[in-house]
Amino acid sequence: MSYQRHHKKKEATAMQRIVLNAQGYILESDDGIFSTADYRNNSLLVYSPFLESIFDSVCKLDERSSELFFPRVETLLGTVTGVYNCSFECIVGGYFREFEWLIYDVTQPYEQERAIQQSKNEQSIRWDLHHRP
Amino acid sequence: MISKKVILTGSFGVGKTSLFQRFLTGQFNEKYLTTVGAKIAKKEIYVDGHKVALLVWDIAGEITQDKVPASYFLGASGIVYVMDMSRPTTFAHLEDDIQFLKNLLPYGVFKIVANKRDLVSDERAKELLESLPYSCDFVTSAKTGDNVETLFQEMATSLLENHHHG
Repeated sequence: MSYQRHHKKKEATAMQRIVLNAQGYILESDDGIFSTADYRNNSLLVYSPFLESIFDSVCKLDERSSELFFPRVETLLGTVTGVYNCSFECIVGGYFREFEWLIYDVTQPYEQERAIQQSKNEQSIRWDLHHRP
Repeated sequence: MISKKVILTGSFGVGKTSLFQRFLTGQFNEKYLTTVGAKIAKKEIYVDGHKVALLVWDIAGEITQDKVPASYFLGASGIVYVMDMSRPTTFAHLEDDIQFLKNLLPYGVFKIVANKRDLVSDERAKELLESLPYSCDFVTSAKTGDNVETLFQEMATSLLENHHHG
């Protein structure tokens, strides 16, 4: 396991592994975060704006050579809304390509981070407004 | 139907999330809530009888664009660069940011937006807009809704034109 993967896993409270084909259909899922039972008969791209907006880039990945990582994505997965770190890797190349999507639920640490960032930003905004010309 | 990814970006506290919410739901919330990461939603609109799905990414504000995770920009066709008219510091990196973004997305559609028009006087607004190194495409107010629908409608029109002209 790479450091990046270990780090992603360490802060997550739950995880899900999904294997997709090149059309976005689910081939495997351990349903660790959301149940995929209702999403098996159609491409997952139909249900996920996140996946739809990045899947062309995912399909350009070479087999086992690199991964795409999207930190702190706030989106709906199935019927669950949360904040997720997502990574994609091409695990089977050739004609029948397969992609592994690892989803790490970071909703809880995100809320802590948001509170800290909120306070910093509010302070900066107050300073800006006080010192504007 | 065509789908296009559009990113709302700019410094923090400029009203990206408010524009996002106004466009998606028609609503406005006075309370400022920092975005950490990216929020993604989809809305379908019509342009000259063509259905266009906008996949909108509302991303965490950063003082400069080189601090935004590069993966967020993958597959993007349009960028809405938002500034806050009541805070001149949010214009400070406009030139560098636009250059940086144009290097990332050389064929992208860019819309530069001065938001929070409701917070400045007519005179101040004119003065600010004249001082910018790039002309501003839209002056909006997420609070009143002024120009928000037009902004996304124009973005979709430009994306459709780009799509048809390859």
